[in-house]
This record gives sequence, C-alpha cells and structure tokens, in this order.
Amino acid sequence: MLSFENFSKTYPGGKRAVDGLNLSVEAGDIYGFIGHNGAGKTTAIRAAVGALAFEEGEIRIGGMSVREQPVACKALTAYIPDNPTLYDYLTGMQYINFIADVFGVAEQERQERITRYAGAFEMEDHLGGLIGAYSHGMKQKTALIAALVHAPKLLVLDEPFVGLDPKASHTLKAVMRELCDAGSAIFFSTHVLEVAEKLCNKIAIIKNGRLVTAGETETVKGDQSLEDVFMELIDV
Amino acid sequence: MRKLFLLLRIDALGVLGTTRLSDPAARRKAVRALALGAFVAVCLLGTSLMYFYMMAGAFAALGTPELTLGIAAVAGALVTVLTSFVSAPNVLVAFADFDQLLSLPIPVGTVALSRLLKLVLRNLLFLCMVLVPAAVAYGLNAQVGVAFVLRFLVLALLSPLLPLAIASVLGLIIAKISMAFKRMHAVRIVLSFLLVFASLALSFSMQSIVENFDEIGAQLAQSVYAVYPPARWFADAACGSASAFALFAALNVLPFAAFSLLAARNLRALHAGLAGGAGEKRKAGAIRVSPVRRALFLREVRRYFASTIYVTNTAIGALLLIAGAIALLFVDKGRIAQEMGIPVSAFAPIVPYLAAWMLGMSTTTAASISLEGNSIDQLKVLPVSVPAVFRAKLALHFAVTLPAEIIAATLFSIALEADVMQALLLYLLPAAFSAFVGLAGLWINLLHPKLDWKNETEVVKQGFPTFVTVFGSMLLVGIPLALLLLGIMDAPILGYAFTALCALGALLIWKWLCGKGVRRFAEL
Repeated sequence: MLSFENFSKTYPGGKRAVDGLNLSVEAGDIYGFIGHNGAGKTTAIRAAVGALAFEEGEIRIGGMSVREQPVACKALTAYIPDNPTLYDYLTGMQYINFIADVFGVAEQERQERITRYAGAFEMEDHLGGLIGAYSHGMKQKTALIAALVHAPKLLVLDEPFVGLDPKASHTLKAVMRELCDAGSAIFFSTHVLEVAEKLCNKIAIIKNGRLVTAGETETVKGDQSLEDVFMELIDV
Repeated sequence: MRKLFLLLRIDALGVLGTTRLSDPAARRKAVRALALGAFVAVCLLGTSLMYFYMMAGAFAALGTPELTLGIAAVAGALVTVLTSFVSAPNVLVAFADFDQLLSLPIPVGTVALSRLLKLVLRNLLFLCMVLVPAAVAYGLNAQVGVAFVLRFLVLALLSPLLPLAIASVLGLIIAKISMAFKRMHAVRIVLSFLLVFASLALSFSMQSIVENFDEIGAQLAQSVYAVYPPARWFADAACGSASAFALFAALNVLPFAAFSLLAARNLRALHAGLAGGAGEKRKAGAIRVSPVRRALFLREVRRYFASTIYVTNTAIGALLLIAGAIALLFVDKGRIAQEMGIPVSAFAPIVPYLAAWMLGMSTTTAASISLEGNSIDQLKVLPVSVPAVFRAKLALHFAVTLPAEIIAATLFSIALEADVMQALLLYLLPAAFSAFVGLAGLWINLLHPKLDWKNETEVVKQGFPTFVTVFGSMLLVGIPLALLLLGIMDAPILGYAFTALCALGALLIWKWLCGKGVRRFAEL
C-alpha cells in the first residue's frame, strides 16, 4: 500500500534529513515508525502524504507514484500530523464536512461514520463549536474523525497518541485494529515504545535519516523488549 | 528594560525575517523586496511632498502657512485611527503566543508595553509618509531653523499616541460588543465599516473645506481643526509656541499612559474577554453535502468572514465603488470635474479607471496563501489539484469584486448617460483589471508567502504582497489615466487597449500559476 524506494530528502542548506529509505507497508499492516527526535520520521511522513516536495527516490501509494499521480495517491490516504493545525475559523462539523466533500463521501455513509466516530471519541456535544476554541485533544479527535470519515486505504499518523486522554487512546487503538482488519494499512510514528510493541505487527527504526532495522515486530525485538532493542540500536 | 528590549527584538526578528538571511536565496529575495519597497516608499513620499508643497504655497498666500502642518496632523491622526482600530485588539491582546509570553519570568506590564510600542513603531512609519513631506513643504515656504526640526521630531514621535489610544479603545469596545452576539464576526465587520465610513465622511468634509480657498485663513483653520483639535497645538508647537507644545505633549502622553497602565493591569482579563468560550458545548448542525469545487470555495468564504481585518481591508474598495456610483447619480458631474481640475468632457472617460483603481484596493488574493499559515499542510495533503485551490481563492476575489463592479458599472452608465461603447468599457475595463490584480496578488503571494505569522495583521495589512499588489495596481491605473488626461491617446482606443492588456496579463499569470505555480505551492 505504501512503499519508500531509496527515498532521500535534503533540505535547503544541506541537511540530509532522510538518506536512502526503503520500506514497504502492506494492506493489513499496523506499521510503527520509531526514532529519536530529528531522526527523519516526520520528513518521511510529510513526503509520503504530499506535504513535502522531494527529488530523490520514489514513494508509492497503492502502486502509484506520489510525484506523478499526487491527487490519486492522496485520495487513498488520510494524514494526521503530530500537532493538527486545523482551520480555527470552522466548526468541528464544518471541518469534517469539508474533508468529506473533498473526498466525495456520500451523505448516508458520512452520517453513519460521523455519528459513530463522534460517539466513540465523545465529541458529539462539541462538533458545533469553533475549532479555534478546542483543546489540543479535541483538535486531535476532530482530525481523527475527519480522517476516518472517508474510510482511508492508508492512514498515516505522526505521534497520534500525544494529547489524547486514556479513553481516546484506547478507542484509537481499537479503531486502528478495525481498519486493518478491513484491509487498510496504517503507518505511524511514535515515541511510546510500549504502544508500538503491543499494537504494531511491523516496526521500523530510523536513526539520523537512515533505516537501522525494519520487519515483523517479533523478529525485530527477538527476546528483548522493544525499548531495549531501540536503546541498543540508537546507542551504536 | 532589558526584557522589554528582548521582546521588541524578538518581534522585529519575526517581522523582518533577518534570521533567514543566512540562506543566499532568501537574501537575494530580501534585497529585491527591500529595493521594491524603497521604490514604492520614495514614490509615496514624492507624491505626498508634491501635494503638501502646493498646499503650503496656497496657505502661505492666505497668511496661514502653519495650516499645512495642521492638516498633516489631522490626516495622520485619521489614518492612524482608521488603520489601527481593527488590528489593535489583535496586536495588543489577542496575539498567538500570549500564553507562552505570560508564562515567562517577565512582568505582565512589560509584555503589555512591548505590544503597545510595537503598535506605535508600526504607525510611526506610516505617519512619516504624511508628516515629513508636510514639514519639508512648510520649511520651503517659511524660514525655519534647527529648532523647528528638533521640535518637529519630538512632536512627530508624540503624535501617534493619542490616535492610538483612541483606536485601541474603539477596537476593544467593538471586539467586546461583537462577542455578545452569536454572529460575532458579522457584527464586528458591520461596526468596523460604520466607523470607517464615519471617519471617511469626516475627512471628505475636511477636503471640501480645504478646497474652498476663498474663505479667509482664520476661518479655514477653524474648520480644519474642528476635525481634530490637537492638530492646532501640533502646528503652533512646531512654529515655536511653548504652551502649545506642552498641551500637545500632555494630550498625547497622558491618555496613552493611562491606557497603557489600564491595558497592563488588565491584560489577562482583556485576553480572556476576547478569547471566547473555550470548551463550550455546542451540538453540530445538519450534514450538508457539496461538490469539491463548492467545498473549497466555501472554505475560502468562511476564512474570509472569520477575519474582521481581512474583510475591512479588502472590501473597502468595493464598497467605496458602490457608494461613489450611487453618489454620481445625484451629484453634478460638472462640479466634480471642476473640483478635480479637469475639463467636463474628460470626466466620463476617466470613470472606468477610477473604478479599476478602487477595485485594486479590494484584492483578497494577495494575502490568501499567507493566511493559510501553519495549516498549509492541510491543503497540500487534500486529493485536489493545486489549480483547484487557486481557483477557489480567485473565486473569493471575484465574489467580493464582481458584484460591486457590475452594480457600479450599471449606475455609472445611467449617471453618465453612456452610449453602448462607453457602457461596455465601464463593465469590461474594471472587470479585466480586477481579474489581473487578483491573479497578480496570488502570484506575488505565492512567491513571497509569510506562513509563520502570529496575527493576521502581519499579512493582511503589513504583508509585502499586499503592499506591492495594492500600490502596484494604483501605479498601473495611473499610467493610462495620465495618457488620457494629457490627451496623448484617444479615450475609447486607450480603454479597450488597456482592457485587452489586463486580460492578456491575467492569462499569462494563470498559465504561470498552473505550471511553475504548482511546483512553488508544493515547496511551501
């Protein structure tokens, strides 16, 4: 569903944020992307979702090139950044409706999904309020509902659990599993290694822009905890 | 004091963007922007000087040369109030990094003072465009020495204080009143426009007084100073009156100091009052399905009306155009031509250009990319083509300008009893020019975006793209207008040629936007 093929990104000024990344996320995967601050996780994610232009390597979504068919790739994808800067001038419902309009979600499906996910994330009583007045967690939940309203084939999340209350975190994990069972793929970055260890069937660790290891979670961590493996790899 | 300096320095770094100058490309861009900005500033100062020089000569003949300084003080005060009352609450109270700044070990009073000084410094720059040329024009007509220059410098530094205190109080009152209404932004926009039109009516009444040169000097001075009484003390103080100097200084410093003290003491309360009901429970309305194009356009419309400063800054030209067209139905055209100093026969041909000039002020696109701010990624990850995003932004521009243009052209056609060719030009020329300026605004904003703004004023009013687009459009209209008034070209030929050039320019920019513009958008 998502593949990085020798992807590299160098910022103006010469900083090479990602160097030759090769990674493949299949349908049904919950793929955790782990690394220290500044390792290149967000750069790779932003390039994949079309928020960051790149020149080296290739990124494909559903077999299509992100550079050559950006609109078709984006139509399969939902992206939630680490700090969702939604449109403060819209109400939560207006924002979700806007996303649903852009993705062409039919009225009935839209109604069902909004009711379901707004209930799951306890946002029914808040969607009429302006996003500008929301807390960080409420913005995160609104972004999640908007992402789920078009039933994406690929869900890309950058630090999705930051700012969510424990119940919402639990709900999100359940929704992620549910989406994967339905054949979607999930690729997300996190610093919460316990969550990654329990939730992901695959894990990739990135250090200074280079992939250190990637594969099935059980294979990557072996007999150790993910935290021990991560510390060993990062300290090398 | 050190903390105040640090806060002002951080603000200056944000506004000037000097931290980015280590990048050679950014440096080249900054030099180009600086050169263009300097050119426009010189043009404005030159125009202002010419205007005040003519005025100073006339007033010297009437025996009241100091009236030049008084008029500059009145104009400066009106401009300060008009340009600051909408932005003052944002700059002073509702700024984005409020929580972060107040969590620092800096006294609240210092934070408030840094915001007030930011407002003062910004207005001083604009005031220089009015006060300095007036002083030079006065100096050329009266014998002045070093003492005048020194007195004038102090007076110029003091002059924005009272208008800013008035503008801030008005702005905060309007913001607070509008908070009580469900349609808060609509109320704020209506109240703001009422204040703008009241101020404009005041300045127009002053203009008609000034042009009435057959009145004796003293009566004339009385009429001018009735608009803004402290201007009399400004003029007298500049000419050497110590008591007037003390009065003007006291009248500016004391209210400003009192306002500063109140603002500093109540900064947190004012911020809480304007921040609105966070976490307030509000059930969502019904689900509405829209096609993609309409959804993108609606997003732009909601963005537009969510910002009072964006609306007041851009819709003013369209509203003035309609007001002017209605007025022309009832006012004698011969008298207007006489007051403008042009032959009656030259009045009708210049009307399409005046309409274009006003529409040039109503460009929503010049700030539309910058206004996406740090949520630009939201737009970039949507499954829509980049030209579709541009089309939505242009559609908003046309939604603001085209209805006003059509109404005005119809009223102008009736008022001027235009024949078919003239009427066609009244519709086509301003429309083509508005299309060109709308596309040019988008183009310039795409090349010079500012996405890291802390409040909308930085991009809507002070943004480089807005400045270039608005003043550039004024200069562009000035070229055919000059050719017309100098009788160098035949009016209909010039009109249709200018229309065709605008349409061609618009097409070329659209072609750029759909090619290089798409790549540029991806790089933002």
